Amino acid sequence: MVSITFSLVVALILYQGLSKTVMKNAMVDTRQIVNQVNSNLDYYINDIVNVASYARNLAKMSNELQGEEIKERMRVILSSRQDIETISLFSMEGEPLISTSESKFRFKEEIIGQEWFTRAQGGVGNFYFTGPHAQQLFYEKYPWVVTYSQQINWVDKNKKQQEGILAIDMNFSSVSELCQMVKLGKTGYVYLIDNQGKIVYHPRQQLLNSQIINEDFDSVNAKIFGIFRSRFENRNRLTIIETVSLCRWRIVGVAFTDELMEGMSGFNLLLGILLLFCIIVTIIIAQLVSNWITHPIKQLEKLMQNVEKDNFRSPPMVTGNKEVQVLSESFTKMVERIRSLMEDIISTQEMKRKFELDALQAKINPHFLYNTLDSVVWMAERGDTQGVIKMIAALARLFRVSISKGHDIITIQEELEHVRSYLTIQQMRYKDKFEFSIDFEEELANCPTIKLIIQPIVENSIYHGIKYLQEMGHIDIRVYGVSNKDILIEIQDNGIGMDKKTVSTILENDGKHLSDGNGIGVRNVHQRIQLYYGRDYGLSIESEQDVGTLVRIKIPRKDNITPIKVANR
Amino acid sequence: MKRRLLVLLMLIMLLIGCVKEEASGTPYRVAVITMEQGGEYWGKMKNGARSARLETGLELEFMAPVEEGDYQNQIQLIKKAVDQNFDGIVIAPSNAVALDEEIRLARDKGLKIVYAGAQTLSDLADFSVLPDYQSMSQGIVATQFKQTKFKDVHALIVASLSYNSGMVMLSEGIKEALEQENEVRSVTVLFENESRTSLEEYFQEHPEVNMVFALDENIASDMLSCKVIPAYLIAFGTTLNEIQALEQGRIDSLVVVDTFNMGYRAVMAVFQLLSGQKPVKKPVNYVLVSKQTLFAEENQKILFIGQ
Repeated sequence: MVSITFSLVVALILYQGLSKTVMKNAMVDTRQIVNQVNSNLDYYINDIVNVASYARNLAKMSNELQGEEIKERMRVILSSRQDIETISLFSMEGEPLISTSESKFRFKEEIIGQEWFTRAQGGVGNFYFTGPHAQQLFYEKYPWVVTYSQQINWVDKNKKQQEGILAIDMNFSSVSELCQMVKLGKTGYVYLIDNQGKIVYHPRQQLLNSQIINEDFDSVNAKIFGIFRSRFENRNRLTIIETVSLCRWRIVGVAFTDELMEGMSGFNLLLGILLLFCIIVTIIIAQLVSNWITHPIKQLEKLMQNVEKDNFRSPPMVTGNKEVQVLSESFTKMVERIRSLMEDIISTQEMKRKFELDALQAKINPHFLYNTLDSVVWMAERGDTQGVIKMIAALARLFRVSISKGHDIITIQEELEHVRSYLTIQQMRYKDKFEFSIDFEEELANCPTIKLIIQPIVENSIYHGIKYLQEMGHIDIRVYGVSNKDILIEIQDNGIGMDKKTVSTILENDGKHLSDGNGIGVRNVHQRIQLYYGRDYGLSIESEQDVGTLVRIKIPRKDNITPIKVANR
Repeated sequence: MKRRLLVLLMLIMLLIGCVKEEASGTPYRVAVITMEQGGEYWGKMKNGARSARLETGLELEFMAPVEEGDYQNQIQLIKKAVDQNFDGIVIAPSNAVALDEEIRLARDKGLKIVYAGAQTLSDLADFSVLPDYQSMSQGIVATQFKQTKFKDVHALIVASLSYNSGMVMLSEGIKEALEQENEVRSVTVLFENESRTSLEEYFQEHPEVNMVFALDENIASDMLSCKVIPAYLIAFGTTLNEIQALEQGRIDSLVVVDTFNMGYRAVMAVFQLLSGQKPVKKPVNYVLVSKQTLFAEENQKILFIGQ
């Protein structure tokens, strides 16, 4: 940005410097042109004065020369030039004495009142240049002229010196030629004004008269002389005013700045291209430098974003300047430290979870073991040896699975074996109180599950559902896969069921237990499943009072595992 | 980075676009069709058109019938302009109805049409440069009655063509303005193309006529050639004959319509239309000149420059 600004400033200074020079040169050139026109006009006016001098001399010879001869000599002058309309000599009373025109003159009363006549009076030699006007010497023509008038002496036939007014009417052919031959830029022009600020000649006179265009007379009349710049009708113009000697006219040259500066357009193009080139190069260099500086920081930023996305692998070292390297080293160390701390936390959490699981599992065993052993004692007292053997065998199977060599994960089949053992024991304890069935899809036999999740449900069914039945209770266990993704284990009984309120609170994790102890084991199972498999899994319960209860255990279906080889004695 | 480069590329293209010089094409060709070939009125209008040509670089071709009322010839001239693929036409239609069809065809061919001084009944032109005939008429009459105390005025308005919109609007405007003056007893409008009697005969038959409006320079010329000229004559035009008559008191007031302005603006309007610009409407100026004001500085500029 600094470089671009610098380029722009340099370009601006360059442009302004050159503009000033070009404008200065243009002003000098324009002034020279206007001066040249002025010189030509001076020459022309002098020429008219010379013609007047010649006419004056002729008038002095009027006593020597015939009137016709004087006319003839004056006509010779006229024939050699297009710019003079008439040369006439009038008495001080306005009577025409000599004229190059044969037309009939106006009455003397009309002549003496005209400006050229009155302004020339005031002593011999006094002369005056009028502004442009319609010639009013004759009735039948009105050419547009400027009149040079001078009071002169002439000699009458009696050789008496008389005073009179010499009038030379000039048309605008010469003035127009002089002014139109100059070129001030493309459309600049030169015009003449008299000492009162009225236009003597303007190349666009008729457009001015018709009010089609306007001229900046206010500025010109305010300045009188010199060179100035102004803005008129939305165009900047350069105006040069010079005074034409003898006639008190002023010559005004008007040039338009945009045309004078036209030569700058090539330079402007070159400057523009150069400037653009400089800006492009500056931007490219700035981009490269910026990349060199910011690339390592961007790399660091990316590494940090990775860490934000839980990627705590050791980040690579970022190369760059010393500060960036130090920053990178610190960052790497920090990430490693965070990873180490996180691993510690995970490890602690896992241990905590294991302790919780173990604690939950541990809740099952003493209670059941006490009841079972109580039944074994009772059967032994009764002498029911077979019953004792069956129950002890079932208990042994039960514990084998429970222990599972310390594994938390067992196969579905092992879990079902565990519940079967449990149900066998309970069936023996509650003689003919209930029947049970276990169905499962063979392909699910070796699917893994956390252990001891069915038995607490079954226990709940017996103690809180079937135990109070008068008729035969049924516990049906079904295991089947759902959409190759999950496994559903259904435990259905025809016990006394639960009301809706109980169903809705039984799995709530607020730590409160139902008054009769119902649901502790069920909630334990639910919590263990969710702890291990996540919130998508766990238990759902449907129950209707006096109809029964259906508990569904949903666990994820995972790849088969090898059953734990426990000696089956 | 890519976006920045794209912006830079666009800047370069913009620079090149700015620098590229405009291709200079051939100039537009415009036919200027006046009502007649000669005459001071049309001469000054053509001078105005030439001034506009100098400024615009247009190629102008002046066309006109020999006689003022020859609208058939104007139709032929429009056809000629269309056939020769002119780009625009400035026309002073002598007939307000008969030229409509040809002008419509020209416009359909894509020519820009500008009316100058007169128009046709259907508004077919793309632009018109006209005097405000209504206000001009009122101004002329009001000035006359302000300057001179008339009594029992019997006015005659002599116009050239009854089918020319300019003549009709002007004559009706003057008639309307006259009828509002208390001292006016009668107002008659006479169209030369419809009249069966000469002006000389008319004045003999109507000796009561004491104020005449000659609505163009030809009528004024006819009027001045009459043996008996009515008491008060107001003429339109700037001919030498009229100026002399004004000086001699045979014409009492001269109405000078700035036809230079009209010609200039009409041609400029065609140029602007062809260049896709919109010309600005403005009525054509006029001045009223009396013997006393003939050599007033402003009047001199209008009457005598170019004489």
